[in-house]
Amino acid sequence: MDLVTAYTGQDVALVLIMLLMLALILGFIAGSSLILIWAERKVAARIQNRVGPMMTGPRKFAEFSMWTGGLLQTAADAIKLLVKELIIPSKTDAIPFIAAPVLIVTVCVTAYIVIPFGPAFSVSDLNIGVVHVVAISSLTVLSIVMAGWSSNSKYSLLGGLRSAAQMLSYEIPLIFALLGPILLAGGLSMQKMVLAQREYGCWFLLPSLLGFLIYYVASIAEVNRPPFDIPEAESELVAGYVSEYSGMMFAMFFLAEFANMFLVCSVAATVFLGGWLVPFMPVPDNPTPVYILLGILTFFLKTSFLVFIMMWIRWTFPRVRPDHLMNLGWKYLFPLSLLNLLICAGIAVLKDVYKLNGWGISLASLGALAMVMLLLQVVRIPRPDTFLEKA
Amino acid sequence: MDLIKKIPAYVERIPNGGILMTGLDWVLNNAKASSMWYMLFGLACCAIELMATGASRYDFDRLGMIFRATPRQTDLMIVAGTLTLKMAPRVKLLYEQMPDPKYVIAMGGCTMHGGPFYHDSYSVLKGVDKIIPVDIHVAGCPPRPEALMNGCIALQDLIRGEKVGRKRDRPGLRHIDPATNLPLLVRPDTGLIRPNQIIMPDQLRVLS
Amino acid sequence: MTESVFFYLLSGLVLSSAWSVVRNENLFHAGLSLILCFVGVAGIYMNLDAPFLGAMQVLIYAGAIAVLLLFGFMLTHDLMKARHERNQHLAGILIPVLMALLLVGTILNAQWHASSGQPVNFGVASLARRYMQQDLVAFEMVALLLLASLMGAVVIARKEEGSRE
Repeated sequence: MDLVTAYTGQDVALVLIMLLMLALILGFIAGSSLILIWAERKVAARIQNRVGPMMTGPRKFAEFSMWTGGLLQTAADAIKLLVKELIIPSKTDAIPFIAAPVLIVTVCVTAYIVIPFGPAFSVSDLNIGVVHVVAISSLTVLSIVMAGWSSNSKYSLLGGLRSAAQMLSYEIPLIFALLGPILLAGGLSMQKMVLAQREYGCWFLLPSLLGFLIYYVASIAEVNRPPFDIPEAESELVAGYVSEYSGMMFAMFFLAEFANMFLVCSVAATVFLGGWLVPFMPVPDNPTPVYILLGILTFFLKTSFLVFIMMWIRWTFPRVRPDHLMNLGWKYLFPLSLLNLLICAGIAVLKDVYKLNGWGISLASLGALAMVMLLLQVVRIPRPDTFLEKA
Repeated sequence: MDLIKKIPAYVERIPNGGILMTGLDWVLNNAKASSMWYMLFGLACCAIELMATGASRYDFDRLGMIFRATPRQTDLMIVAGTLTLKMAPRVKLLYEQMPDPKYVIAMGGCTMHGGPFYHDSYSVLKGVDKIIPVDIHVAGCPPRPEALMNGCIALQDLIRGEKVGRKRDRPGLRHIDPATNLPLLVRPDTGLIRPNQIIMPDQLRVLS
Repeated sequence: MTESVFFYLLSGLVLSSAWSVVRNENLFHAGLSLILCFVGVAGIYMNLDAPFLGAMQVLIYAGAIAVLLLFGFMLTHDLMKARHERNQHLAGILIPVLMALLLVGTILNAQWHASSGQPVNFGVASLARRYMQQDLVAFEMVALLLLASLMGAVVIARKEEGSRE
């Protein structure tokens, strides 16, 4: 158990509780994915003027409103996938083929352990929190490469290649966008991130608005969701790297996709939107049970809002072309994330030197943002449609 | 091994013992029936109606049906359109790539007996059940989305009647009348197949 | 006690996966073993109370460099044949033996101080202070080196584009 204690800096006695929490996290991932997949289908239906799943689950809900019907749809899907035949095609590289879905779920669960769901309510508040999430998530691409290669199919291979290129290049703006808040908070721990936002008196959304937007776009690309879902584009690559997976192995990829979506959104909510800080409510130094419950509720509301926006984007925008994707990542998001780092450094200095309160910091960050907009007007960076003509 | 195969039957014979198996049956069958993911492929004009059924006015998603582009993740193959002889091996390959349990809906006249190409076409397969077992035939040229949806509901009823561990009753391959060389697809009550009519497998009768 | 058990487990993992990297006939499997090796090294870092270093090892080596390596494998034509055409057994044996001699010599000659004090809390902050204050010049030199290699890559990429037109 020394490894765990060394890693966390906590007592051995807490390890059992942590294991229990880990089991809770597993249950939470499964449960939240059930709801998220149902919600995704309902959101998609609403956007496309359809009704969505209706017939599965308690009829009472469907009678109440058609937007609450089909609650057990994902459960039905899961049970069906569980009893389906598992096909391992004869020409696959069997060990990586089976290991890939296991790895992607493992990685996802491991990354969840630092997410602060509420005050003093995370499996383990590592003092390298943000780096832990980013580092562990970077292994997701490995699982996708393994799946793509070992399937021994053209579509899977191309999907794996595209996904590897995409995830490697979008990891960089993602990390650099997170560097701004890290600089402001002066630490990497997730709980410290939230407490720093209390200390500043405003969410880090304002000082690093640019960073938030970059993080959000990059995280959509990181979890391979539309409009950046070229690794699994149906119209050209069948189903990308999951083309050859059936039954439960596919279900694990599916689960990991939604769990990853919730993960990136909860990191965004923690780092940029104040995590469990309840808006317009003074934070007690020793959180009361009422505050803890309110905090957990707030955290889930913020995260769900971000998840909803991600679904909204998915069903609204068409897919981008691979070279456009690379252009966006390297030529726009990366330099802008460096600019964001500069702004955040400036605001951190302002806070230290002039002892600004929340309003002062908000004003300063809005001023910085206005200056950035002005700068972009003066410099006139080429717009994305100029390389449309070139191509 | 024989004993293991007989276990469901024994359990059902015990008074109240049937609850166990019927409960399991109910859960599994309802799960299978309410998430039939269909394969994204169309062969001819019936595919247009298939797309219309998936779109917002009719909405397959109400039944929990979504399309998957790869056969490895599908449960249901909707053969929508004229199946030519050249395409037939591909369709058979796709069917074989699907994992069990798998179901087939033959949509439209062409897939039942060649449809308009029945009499004088050298290149059309006269009935898709010559190569793959079909669970539900949906008549029509092409069938309206309501008919296709009704066919899917009929398939759901078929799935709900399955038993765990028992082999599914599948309609066999096509019977051909040796005298006229015609496929024998006749409803028992009227003797005719009307457009947009759903035909359950047990309603097919071989005429001699 | 448990610390050393973990150390031996992780060392076993690192050594066996490293052996697999060298000896595996399948290049893709060798690449995967390399990643396993990197992850094992990260585990050793974490066992030694350096979680930041471990996370960075996972992020940079396992998550980025090794995946780029696999990416290269996937783009290589006739990957499986390339392995058998080489005939560099002599160099392949000589270099590791020399390396091993060097390492063993260093280890035997070094003076190992066993400190009785508590281990310092080796956090990110102390690392940052070290980089930004004490070793600033070396840090900047490394940055300059990276910049130079980046520019070199740009020059090479540019040339290819010009020659195609």
